[in-house]
Amino acid sequence: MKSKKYFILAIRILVGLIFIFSGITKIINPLGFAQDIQNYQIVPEFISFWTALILPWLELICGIFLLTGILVRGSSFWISSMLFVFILLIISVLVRGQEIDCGCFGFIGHKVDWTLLLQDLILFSLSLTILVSSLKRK
Amino acid sequence: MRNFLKLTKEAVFILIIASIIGVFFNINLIRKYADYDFKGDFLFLEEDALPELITVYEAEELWQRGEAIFIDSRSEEEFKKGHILGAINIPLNSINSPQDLKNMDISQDKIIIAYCSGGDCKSSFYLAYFLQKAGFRNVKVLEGGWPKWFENGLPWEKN
Repeated sequence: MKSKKYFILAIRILVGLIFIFSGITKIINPLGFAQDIQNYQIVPEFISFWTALILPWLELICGIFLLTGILVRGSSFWISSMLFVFILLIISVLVRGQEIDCGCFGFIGHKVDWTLLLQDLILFSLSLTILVSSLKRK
Repeated sequence: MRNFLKLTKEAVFILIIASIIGVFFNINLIRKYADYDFKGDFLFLEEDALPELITVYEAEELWQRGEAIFIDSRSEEEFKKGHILGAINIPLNSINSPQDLKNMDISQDKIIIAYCSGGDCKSSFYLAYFLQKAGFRNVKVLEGGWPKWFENGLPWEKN
């Protein structure tokens, strides 16, 4: 039981740190991120713009909350939801055969490929684990 | 059930906080976004992306020496009513990407000065920005645009 608790704590810290980093890299360059979203050619321009302003802060805040153990249910819900959408986007890019930058970590360019899909699937399963365990808590 | 209610409350709270901070932190960008029609090119809104301004006096000197090409970004109708002598008309709405400008016969060796109808007009900025992206290195925007040139009694023509 105790080992499970430490396991959840460990993945909370890991996912939290990844999302804090991811949020910060986007916050410092919202226009670059808006352009990255636009490059997916899925949503209209104004959605790319507003997403680029708000999503990075959502990532940062959820990351901090996961790390510190505050509002774990809400933050793991958002992180899981974001990862779910990212996974769908990655699949759509791979299916269409587009070659674009994922926009995952701002200035650190990373092309959308199968390894990215694998990374996000792992992160998604980790954040779902946190979400489920937080929902079981009384 | 109670946990799901808590989850919803927490999720809504986090979203509100993120939205407020996101809007507050980027208020200047939002203002710019409302002001400009930048055809899906977000990098246009970056501070250093905007081309340099040139005063009407500096522009006139270049015009006299034949060292500049003037590009009028206003509509064809406005252009016909009066424009800087020798200027060419590339209405902004005729351009969809920098590639369109690459295909035009514009000299790379001269300074390009874009202008529009002065005051709040933004089309010369977009055009200049697109020209820069198309690979033209020396692009400027005429401060005050066509009205300033005309008020100063500088050479113009109609057609």
